[in-house]
Amino acid sequence: MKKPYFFYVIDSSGICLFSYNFKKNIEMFQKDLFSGFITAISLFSSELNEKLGYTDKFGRLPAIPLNLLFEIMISYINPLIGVLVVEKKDIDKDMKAFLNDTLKLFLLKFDDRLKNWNGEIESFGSFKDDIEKIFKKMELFSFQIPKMRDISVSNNVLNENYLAVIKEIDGKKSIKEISQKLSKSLDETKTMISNLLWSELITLSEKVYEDDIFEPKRDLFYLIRTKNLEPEKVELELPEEKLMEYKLLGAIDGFKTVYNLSVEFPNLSIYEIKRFLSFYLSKGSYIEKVELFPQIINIDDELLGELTTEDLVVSYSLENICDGELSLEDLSIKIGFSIRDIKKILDLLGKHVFYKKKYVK
Amino acid sequence: MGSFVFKIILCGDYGVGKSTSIHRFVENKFKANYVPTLGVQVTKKSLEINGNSVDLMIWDLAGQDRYAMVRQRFYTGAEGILMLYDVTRMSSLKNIKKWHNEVSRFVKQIPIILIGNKIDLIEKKEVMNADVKRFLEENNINVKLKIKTSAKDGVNTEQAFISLIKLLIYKNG
Repeated sequence: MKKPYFFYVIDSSGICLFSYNFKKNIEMFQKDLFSGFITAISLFSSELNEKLGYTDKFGRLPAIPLNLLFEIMISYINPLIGVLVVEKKDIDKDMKAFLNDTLKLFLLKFDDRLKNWNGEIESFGSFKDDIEKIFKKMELFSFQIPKMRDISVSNNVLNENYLAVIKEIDGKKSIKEISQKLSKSLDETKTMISNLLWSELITLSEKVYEDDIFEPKRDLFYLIRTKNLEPEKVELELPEEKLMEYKLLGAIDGFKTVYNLSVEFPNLSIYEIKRFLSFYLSKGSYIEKVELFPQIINIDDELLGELTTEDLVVSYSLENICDGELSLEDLSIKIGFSIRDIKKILDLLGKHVFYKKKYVK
Repeated sequence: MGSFVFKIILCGDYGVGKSTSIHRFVENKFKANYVPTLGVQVTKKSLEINGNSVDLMIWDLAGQDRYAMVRQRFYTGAEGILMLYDVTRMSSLKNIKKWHNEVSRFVKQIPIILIGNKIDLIEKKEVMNADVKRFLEENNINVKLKIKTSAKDGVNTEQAFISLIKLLIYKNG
């Protein structure tokens, strides 16, 4: 599922009870102004239909196009209005389900408080944790590895399709592999995995589940250590040079790039670190790679104005196609610029680029 | 027989089907949802034509007016132009004059192929052959070839690109 921009919960009188910004680098619409606008336009819509004698279901305004790129999606569960600002291209059934389900959960969580509401909105702020949890659960990738929780599942509760999926969940197969094994479409399998997650019956591999969008520096892969290092034994036995290598291996925690490591180990050059890591990667022991797939959100015109024509062309081309699904190699083949040129631009664009993390076996 | 690298440009009003035509030519697929191109999109396609190996760098220029200034920087080095209008929108043909003026300011004497896209929308057709002929005569616009395409159905899109490449090979061979 693609990421929406902003989410708002508005009460029937037009007060914004809760707002959440999915795009941390973009400022949200002013919430009071925005809620007033949404409430007013929804009311106009209802009033018009009432005057014309249409039933209530025609009176609900489902969406407002914001411009060529964006749309405001609206959902109603009395007495609340849920609003999601999204890119048009990202609107699909998952996004609609996300809006409805999130609004339902809000109502469920704060039902009592809403019934006796005293005008205070601070306490709704705790919904931030819920929305993040919901979103993470919905954002599934085919390479993620589901694992059963340590609870028994009754055959009577789930239908045979779900039981077949559960049978394949062994903590080793990815979602894609499960879909292939069952000869089901990836979408269908994702939906079932998502439902199992919602039901808290399974978890997803920590390696790829945690924090899948973040900013790296320079190297477009992170490293994961896959074996324990037996620290006491090695520290006693290794010569000084080997000890440094050992410490370097120990510092690999799945969240550092080569650049991060070079900052942590100023006595080693990036070249030395890369050579050492390549050795261990090629041996297939201790470390594995997690590739990062760039996802450019929005480059402001001011920054683009400062670029040379060639850099500008690469930047625009990347902005048009980087959706978090294409690797650097794919991008290079598609736009005809070298990986080196692309990396240079991604570095230059800095905070405008976010990355999806994909585990490479 | 030789190896060639050509930079070609697609220009025309927003929504005429520039990106869709490229997608059809490069991937042989149709994208139904309209997502406006930001600034410029470069796509590479390698192909063989009559024993010649060609690396084609296809520059898709954003059609919206807000990119008019920045577009000027992208014409340098172009060797051929595919200029598109939408057969269901007369205004997009009229604006070919504006596009021709813009191209002529930055590149001289390069082959232009005029493409009337969206011929699959038969019932909405606004632009007739006679309109195109008259328009080109009245505005003194010379094109090497006029062609009608449907990027949606894949009609003539490849032919438009290949015709331009053949012209360029002939010119540079």
